[in-house]
Amino acid sequence: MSLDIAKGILHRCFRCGYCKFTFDFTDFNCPAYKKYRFESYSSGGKMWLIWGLINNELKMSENLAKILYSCTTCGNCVENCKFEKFNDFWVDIIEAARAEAFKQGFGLEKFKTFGEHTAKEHNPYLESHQNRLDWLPGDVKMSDSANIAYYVGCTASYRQKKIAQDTVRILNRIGIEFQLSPEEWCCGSPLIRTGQTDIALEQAQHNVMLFKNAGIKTVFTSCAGCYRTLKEDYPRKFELELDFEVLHLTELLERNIEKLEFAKLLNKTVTYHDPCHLGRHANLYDSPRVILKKFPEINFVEMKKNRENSTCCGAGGGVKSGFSDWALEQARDRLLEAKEVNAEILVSTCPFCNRNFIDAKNEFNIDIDIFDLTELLVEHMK
Amino acid sequence: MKKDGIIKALKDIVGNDFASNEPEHLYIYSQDPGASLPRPVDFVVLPKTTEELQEIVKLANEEKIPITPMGGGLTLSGLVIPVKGGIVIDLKRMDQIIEINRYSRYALIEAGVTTGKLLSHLKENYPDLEPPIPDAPPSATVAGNVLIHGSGYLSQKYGDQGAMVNGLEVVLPNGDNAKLGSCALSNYWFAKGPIPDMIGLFLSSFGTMGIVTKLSLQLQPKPKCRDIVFGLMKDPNNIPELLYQITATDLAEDVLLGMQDKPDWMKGYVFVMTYITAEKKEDLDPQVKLFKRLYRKAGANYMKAPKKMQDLYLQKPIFAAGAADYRKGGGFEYVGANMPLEKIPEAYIKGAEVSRKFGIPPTLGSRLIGGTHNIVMFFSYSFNRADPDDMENARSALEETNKLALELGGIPWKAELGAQKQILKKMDPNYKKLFFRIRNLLDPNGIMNPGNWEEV
Ligand SMILES: Cc1cc2nc3c(=O)[nH]c(=O)nc-3n(C[C@H](O)[C@H](O)[C@H](O)COP(=O)(O)OP(=O)(O)OC[C@H]3O[C@@H](n4cnc5c(N)ncnc54)[C@H](O)[C@@H]3O)c2cc1C
Repeated sequence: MSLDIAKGILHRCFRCGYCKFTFDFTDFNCPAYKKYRFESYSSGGKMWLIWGLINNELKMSENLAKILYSCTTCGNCVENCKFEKFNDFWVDIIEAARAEAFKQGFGLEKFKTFGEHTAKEHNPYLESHQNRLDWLPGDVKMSDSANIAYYVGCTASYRQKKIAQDTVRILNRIGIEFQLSPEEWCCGSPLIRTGQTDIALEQAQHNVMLFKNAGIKTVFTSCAGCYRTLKEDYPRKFELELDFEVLHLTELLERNIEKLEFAKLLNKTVTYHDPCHLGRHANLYDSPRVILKKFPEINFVEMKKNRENSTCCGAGGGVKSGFSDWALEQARDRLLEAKEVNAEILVSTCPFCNRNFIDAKNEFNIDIDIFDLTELLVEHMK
Repeated sequence: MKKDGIIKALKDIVGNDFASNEPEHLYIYSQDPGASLPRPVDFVVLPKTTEELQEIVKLANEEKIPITPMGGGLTLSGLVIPVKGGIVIDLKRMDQIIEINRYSRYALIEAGVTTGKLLSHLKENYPDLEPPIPDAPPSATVAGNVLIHGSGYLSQKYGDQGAMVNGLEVVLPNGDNAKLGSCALSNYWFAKGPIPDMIGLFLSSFGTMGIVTKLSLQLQPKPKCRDIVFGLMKDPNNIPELLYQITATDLAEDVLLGMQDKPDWMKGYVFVMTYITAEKKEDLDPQVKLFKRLYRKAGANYMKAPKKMQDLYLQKPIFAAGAADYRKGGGFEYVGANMPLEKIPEAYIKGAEVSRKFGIPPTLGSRLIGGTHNIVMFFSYSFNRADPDDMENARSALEETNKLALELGGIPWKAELGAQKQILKKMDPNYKKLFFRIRNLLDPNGIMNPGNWEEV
């Protein structure tokens, strides 16, 4: 969505404030409002600021850009705004305003750096593209003739490599054939979220062609952010035609649930954190829970705020790189919510959430184990 | 002191993160979701404690800077947009629920606690108690609602929210901190008196007398089941008798009336909705039967409310903000007016005429307060926020409606600046004199939300 299109609907925001809350009003659940407490930081406040910008009542400024970037794009506002056919667009409008901030030279420096790097090396981690597959263990079986492809994503390729390694091991164990390509590029998510859509589009076009040329019918990913981007942004934002279905790993595993055989008991109290990009953005809540409940002897508990009401981990929308301390504070708060229900393990299905949780655990010395679901599966499966 | 000095002083009080004079924040605090035109703001500050608030008020008093207290900012009447600039004090960081006293049935809370927070806190921890809250969005504060004599689903039974206040803690314009009610001499915030009652001074005075930091509000027993008995009537003249009979049963929790053009089947009718409650579901049936008969006798027809409507109206709070989306324009404002019951038929008939005159589909409603002692009437005007002419049209309709309410013997509620002026013009001169004398005594420097309740 461009700001021009946003102009046609923005005035429908009444700033009633439902967007600040959970469904049942137990807590403010808009991360930026909860932190900064000025009305201007609430989602409705941001909508009115963008309206002011479009109507030349406000100018883009460093402070306005800061307010726009202080949003994890978690989608709590989308869930809780009650104005139909407007509520779907909150995140799109924020992203369009961020694109405008970039255009006018107010993009955060860190974002510019990773944007420029992604244009060249196809990852935002300032790594070299040719090392993208360094994580891949030698003993993994792949099949060039498979029509299923694993889209690994940058975080699992360069930072949370164990997630990628465990993913391929699980597939080998349950006998699902797949291929992966050293030529996959960044999905574009960090660029879209921070307003650098042109570079994101290049990445997206490349990836779509890559899968098309390889005759891929199903693309699955272990990353919630990549999933949201491939599944939602490619067709909706970039209007790219996909010849393949996009699955999150947990959906693929749920389809093959009878093949998951366990060798070890998991007699621990375990909770699940819904990554925003999987849950609120893509409505995928059940598959990870179905799989978790298959673990023998597991004591699965829900946190008070779960599913559509989930607290954001704090890493998304560029916040981990742009506001790193605040991202950690948010992850800390989420870990404390897990402790409140006596969870010994917090499981997520997003490398980015996982990274942020581990960083917060270490920073604040919180006694809880953090796993990506893949890791837990590899440890407990036959 | 210059602006730089003032912002520094404010930041020294509340910390760097919670005071600002940056244009983006001032832009947001210079407007509200109603139809008022924006008015400039110089500073915004968000205190966390009573002590911080006292420091801010002292600073403002020394520097003679206007201050405007703000809760949710949702009255729609522009009451938290300063009239003479100065400091907006957003109180929502003062958000502690200090005590729920189950036996004496009250909640002691800070001024920034939202209605949503109090509602959910009770639901989770005291499921047999309910708070008197409005149908405003859950981000409205309890204090902001109480302090304007707000009303809600418990008002028919227990009176408006102002009647349910047991006590207040207030920061006065000189920075002093005063406790009003039983809390002035007891640890229990259980009653207003029996001591000279000064709580009323702080109600509907729109922050001109002081800033409330804490309040105790009565809670009420929560029924296990609730239902609505819906009816339609053609002739608004039947309303007073119908409401008189409904309240005589002593069974109605809440009674709402309304007139609107949509959905089509409602056009030309006034609807009535009586909320009934019971411990067990089966105990609701005889009440429904009784009200069916009663409606018929008083000229209304019972109708089973469509499921969608039932779901909407059984929510707490009701999603009334939907009115802003009625014409997909993102705005509405209403004249609320407290009225004597016998004038309600005329209010509906003439209110609809005003709406039509301004080309806005009539959307009228009313809610009983304390039996038939008082009824609050809503004349609602939706507008398109993107169209300045449409907003101007809504302002004109509001102005004319305020005039109508006063002519009918009612009093505009949460009155915007124009309505305040109309009220003062009609007010008994000695009442006015007394009010201004007390106000000047408390606030000789005129820093408390100046421009409100002023004749010129
Ligand atoms: C969709 C919608 C539905 C509504 N339905 C209802 C309803 O059913 N019943 C009802 O009563 N109202 C209703 N309202 C009106 C209004 O929103 C509510 O009354 C609301 O509770 C006001 O609270 P607030 O926190 O928004 O107050 P604000 O607008 O912030 O403040 C109200 C006034 O009190 C002053 N004030 C605020 N806090 C303090 C303080 N601590 N000390 C001193 N002065 C203070 C302000 O300066 C202002 O003059 C509705 C509004 C909307 C938008």
